[in-house]
Amino acid sequence: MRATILHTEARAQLGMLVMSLIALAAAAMLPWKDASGLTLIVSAYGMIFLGAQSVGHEYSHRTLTMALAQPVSRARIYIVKLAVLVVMLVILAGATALALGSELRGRPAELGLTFLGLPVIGAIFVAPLMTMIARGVLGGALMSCFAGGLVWLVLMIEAAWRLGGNIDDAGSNALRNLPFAIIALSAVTGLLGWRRFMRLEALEGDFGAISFPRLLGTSNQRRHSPWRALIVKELHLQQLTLGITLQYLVTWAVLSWVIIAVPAWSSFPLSVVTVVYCMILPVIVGATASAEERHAGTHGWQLLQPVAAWQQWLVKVLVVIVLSGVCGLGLPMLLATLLQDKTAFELGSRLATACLFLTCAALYVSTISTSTVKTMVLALPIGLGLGLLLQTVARTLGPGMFSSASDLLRFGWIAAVMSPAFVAIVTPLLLWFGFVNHSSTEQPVARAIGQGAAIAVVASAALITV
Amino acid sequence: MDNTQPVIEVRNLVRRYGRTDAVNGLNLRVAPGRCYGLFGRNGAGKTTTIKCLLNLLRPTSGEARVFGLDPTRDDVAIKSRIAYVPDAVSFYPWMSVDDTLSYFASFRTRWNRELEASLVSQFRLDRRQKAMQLSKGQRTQLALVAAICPEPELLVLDEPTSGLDPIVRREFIQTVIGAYQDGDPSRRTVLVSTHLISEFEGLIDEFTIIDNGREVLTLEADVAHEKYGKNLEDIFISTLSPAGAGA
Repeated sequence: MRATILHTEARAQLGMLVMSLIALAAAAMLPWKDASGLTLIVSAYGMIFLGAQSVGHEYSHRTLTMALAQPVSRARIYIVKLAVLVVMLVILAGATALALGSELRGRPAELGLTFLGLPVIGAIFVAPLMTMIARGVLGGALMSCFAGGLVWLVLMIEAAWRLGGNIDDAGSNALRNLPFAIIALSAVTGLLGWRRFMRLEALEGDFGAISFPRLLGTSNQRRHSPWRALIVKELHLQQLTLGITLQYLVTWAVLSWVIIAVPAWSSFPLSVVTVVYCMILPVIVGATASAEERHAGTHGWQLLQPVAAWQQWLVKVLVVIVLSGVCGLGLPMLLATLLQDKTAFELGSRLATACLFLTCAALYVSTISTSTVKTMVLALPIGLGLGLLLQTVARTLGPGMFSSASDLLRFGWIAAVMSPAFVAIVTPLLLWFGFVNHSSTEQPVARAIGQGAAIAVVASAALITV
Repeated sequence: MDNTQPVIEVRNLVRRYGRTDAVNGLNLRVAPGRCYGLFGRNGAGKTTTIKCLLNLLRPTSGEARVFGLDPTRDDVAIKSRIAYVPDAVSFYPWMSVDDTLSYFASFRTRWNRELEASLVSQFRLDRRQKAMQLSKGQRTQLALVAAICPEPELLVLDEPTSGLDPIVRREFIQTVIGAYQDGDPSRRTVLVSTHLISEFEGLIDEFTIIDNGREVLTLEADVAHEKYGKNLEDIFISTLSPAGAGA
């Protein structure tokens, strides 16, 4: 019996491990000046997703009821889940250490342990609880990341109050205390996670779906315009986006308060937080748009509604782009105005281009996937793979061949997706392929491979053209 | 087990989802060896009641006992004596029909291989096919095979015939459930939740009609036939229709 659960768990978590390893390899191979930082981020991202997947796959596969109805103790199921997770995490941590190689050897051992060890601990003890609360892998992973970020923020603020020093002192102090804080958090969430699994109810569907006000949602009026109905449906699919936007707002408000309250912190790079948010949010908006419908099982009958498929797709694309623009770009820029953050403003037009590209690229990946989680997991290696391809093309042609090549060699794929001409060439293709995929209930692998090859060719050609 | 002890006993069961009372003070008593029907409209609280019995949901208040045991404390002991077919059946996407059956068999101390072979062939399931690629009806059939092969003392079926074609439905109800109970009539109990009552006419020994989470009518099927001179579906309709007081 134990072997059966073990085998099932290993099989359920293997896909996530493989995708994480591919993403890790792509990140490590990127000829970037700060590839080690990216490798660590990708590794931590993979670990947290693995932790969320350990319990979350039961929600994704809708097998929670069946799993809990088997005559085996919940304690045993949970222990096996965690044991398999530990093995997966050790493999991923080992691969990360291998990828970093000399980078890691040149730094203090505590630093390596902190950046490799803490995500492992978080994945084992924090992510499963968050996943059970969110009732899904993606929500669980994002909540875990948010919890980690919150701990870091609290430590920074505490250090600032206590030491009254500058941001660098506070940063080093927070870094010293981070392992203890994460271990303390993990002890609490570990216990709560155990308790929650022992009492876990077979409830499926996302936690706490947001009800829109009558203006947007259902009302007493029986019939609405189909366009309105489609727009409301698309907005309902984006609840995760709204949750992340809220998290960003909270983070921004706390950080801004610290910057204003502590003069020594006025140099805190809030724009970095903004840029990271501006790059992540469009991916989530796009990733959710099509895959979430397939996951909910509504995609088939949605296509059968008497509205042309292209019209449905058009509404989806417009809603996704507008939402991404408003939440992923408009809001940060508005907040930057309040703090007169010049860096964010200077990056504004480039971020707009990147936001459009990332939204459309994630939307395309969403159409070849069956869930938002799979899209997010697929998007990482696909994005890094495309980046690697573009850099290889740039390297082969040499920096003198075309204007963007030197930028590309310096800043990686980010330079390409911030180039309006590049985005103008590649985005229509992504949207067209996305439409082809979204209009069909089938997802043949051969079609996706063909589309991937066409995108790679057009992206390389676009790079040369611009 | 003592034959006088009920297999299922529910007292004043309440389960709330937020402000909604899915089950509101329900009482239920199922004797061993019976085929018990839990009838109700969509959203009446049938699935919630079943999930409370299986420790898949925690009651807000009230008491539920299965084989005299508390589902929240003795869930493994209870689950090793029962089998459950949920209303929405899902399997792991990488498992074939055969893998799925092996998977479920591995949790059981008892598994009737001959019965498995016979049911798989009766339902014409392809053992090599991926379980999640099966049609909805075939998935239900597979879940039924997985539920019946361990020969449990209590078979809990939640809307088991939805998605089945008429031939399979009749075959399933008369042959599969009938044969299951005939295997050990005094010991094997079936709790079936459904709103397709006519399908189970003749098989049900006793039933409870629930509405808005409350018990509306509990009767032996024979007594009901005698008392109302109607079949169970008509009794159900007249009980729950606005002018149906007193069936």
